[in-house]
Amino acid sequence: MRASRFLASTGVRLATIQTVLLVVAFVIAGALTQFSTTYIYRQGVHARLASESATLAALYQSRGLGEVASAVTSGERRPGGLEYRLVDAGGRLLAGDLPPTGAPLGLTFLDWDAAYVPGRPYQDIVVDNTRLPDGSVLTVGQDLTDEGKLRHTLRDTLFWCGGAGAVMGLVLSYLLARGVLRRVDGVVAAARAVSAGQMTVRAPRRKALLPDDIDELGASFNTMLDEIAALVARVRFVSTGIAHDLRTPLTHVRQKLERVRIAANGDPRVLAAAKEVEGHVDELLRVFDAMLRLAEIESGPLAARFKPLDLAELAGRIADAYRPDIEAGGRRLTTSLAPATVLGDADLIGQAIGNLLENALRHTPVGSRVEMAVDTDEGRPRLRVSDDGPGIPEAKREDVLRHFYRLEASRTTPGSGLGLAIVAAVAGRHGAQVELLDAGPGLTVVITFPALPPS
Amino acid sequence: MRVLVVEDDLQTAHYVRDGLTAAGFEVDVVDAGSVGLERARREPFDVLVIDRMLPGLDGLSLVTALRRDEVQTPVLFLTAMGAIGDRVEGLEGGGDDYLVKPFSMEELGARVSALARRPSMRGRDEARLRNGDLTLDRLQRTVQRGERRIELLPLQFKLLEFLLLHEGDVVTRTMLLEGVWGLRFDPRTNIVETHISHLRGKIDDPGAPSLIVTVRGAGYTIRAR
Repeated sequence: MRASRFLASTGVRLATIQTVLLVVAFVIAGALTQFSTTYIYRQGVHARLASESATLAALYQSRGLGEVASAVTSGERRPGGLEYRLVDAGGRLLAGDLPPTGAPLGLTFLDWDAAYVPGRPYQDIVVDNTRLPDGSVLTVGQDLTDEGKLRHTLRDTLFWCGGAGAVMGLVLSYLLARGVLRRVDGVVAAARAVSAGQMTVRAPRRKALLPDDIDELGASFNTMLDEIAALVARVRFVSTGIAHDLRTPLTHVRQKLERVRIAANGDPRVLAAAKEVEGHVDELLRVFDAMLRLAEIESGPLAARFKPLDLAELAGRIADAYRPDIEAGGRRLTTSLAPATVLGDADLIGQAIGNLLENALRHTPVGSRVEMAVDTDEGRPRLRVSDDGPGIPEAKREDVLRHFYRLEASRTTPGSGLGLAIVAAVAGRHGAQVELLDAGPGLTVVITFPALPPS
Repeated sequence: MRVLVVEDDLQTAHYVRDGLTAAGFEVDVVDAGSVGLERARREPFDVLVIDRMLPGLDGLSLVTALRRDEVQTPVLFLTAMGAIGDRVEGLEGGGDDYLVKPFSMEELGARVSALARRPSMRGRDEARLRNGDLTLDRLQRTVQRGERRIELLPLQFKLLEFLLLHEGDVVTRTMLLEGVWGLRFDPRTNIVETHISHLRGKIDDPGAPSLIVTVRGAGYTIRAR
């Protein structure tokens, strides 16, 4: 997967943010846990020390200092027990091996380093100093090494759990994002294909018990495309239907006009009027014919009928047919034709070439030069028709290939507005590309056919 | 000359009948494919004019059935729309010519006449076509008018040859477009007119009436002499 594309995916971004938040939450939770654990542990230590001090003070009351000293000695020997120090009023050590603490009465936390008492691993310690009635001082202490160990264990546990969680989160979100990305890619690819004109392509669908929002997205996208396809089909159907249905009555009008001409008995005014109406009817019929022809080219399964044909021969034949007319209009037509075999329908390609020549004839001033060339570009047969007329502004070049599009300047000249649309449709049918280029000055139309498959 | 018209659209049927009758044909009209098939089998028509779209038995099936029965009467198909596939299918299915509605009476008349005379194949096999003092040698590809040798461009030669082969018949613009240039669409320019005028300029004697006669609203003809 491309890294930039991966990082650009919403899934990965969300996953990264989630992981960072998870780690932060984990650190805060860990710190709180550490703190509260220490606090609770320390509370327990304090209670224990206070209780021991109280017990020993009570022992002093009932049995005297000697008993306290022996209790200290035995307590000191208890494994895992407390630490003691008992000194009399004169400062003499009576029992216990806790070094002098220098701490005031009551509970005190002492931060000793290991060197303070050689041989004993005291580090942090909490002591409780109690003055007995005779002035002697009892110190009860709790070594906090265990607390340190607990804290370290806790920290390590939190670190590894948190780290593992973060790594797992990242990996899982990567996998999830990749899956999501693939499905989004499917929708994007479908959208691209449709924009490129493949109206039948749809976003992939998967079978899911619980459809998620991407299934929803794909489904809505497909529904939208179906709706668009239906609309396009309906528009086509309607326009084709109109052309078809109006053609019959128009045909009848035309037939009636011929009878009018016969009935006119040579009356020049009637003949002229009939001729004029006939001209209009013929113009209408031509537009309808072009529409029907276009619909037919765009929808018909033609490829099966395609035969190999020499584009140069066809183009030359049509150029020869048009040449006298083009020259009669004060223009020049030159050809440069190299044989190039195309798999196609000669009638259709012929019409496309004819339309291009008629366009060049109709939209250029007298004296213009029209050039037609057939050659091969990297195995692809290519037809080029250029003129040195006014050309088509770059921004409009896509539009003129559309149905009924006519440049403002051409509104008043005869034509159906379908000439180049038919050229585009014929090219599309043959898998050929149409390009409208600047001939500087003028227009060049290039139709590039696909290379002939090796036989 | 007898023509059978198989057409279900009443108005077109009448239009065709009246037009062909006026052109001197004896015309019978039927509106169903099955009836048309029966009559075409039993009666000696010179040309059949058949609509592609008919209720019941359609035009193409009708002609296919006829050809299977070895009835070789020339057939001209009529169709409401010039579907690309239709034309090829029609001609492959046994049709001899093809006309897209709307058509002018002159066009139909010219084509029916051409089909009606087709069996004789006038001049088809002749190496030399003659009309008055004009001689066209199809092997040498030369043209002579009296003693004058005329140089023609290949397309002009083909055009003259086509007209001479249809000598005495009206040849329409679309027949020329198809027959001479192989164009099966309607150019919106005066291609044919311009070519004819160039050809006239070469073959006609100055001042004399043209060999190629314009038939108003229909096409051109070279009169048989």
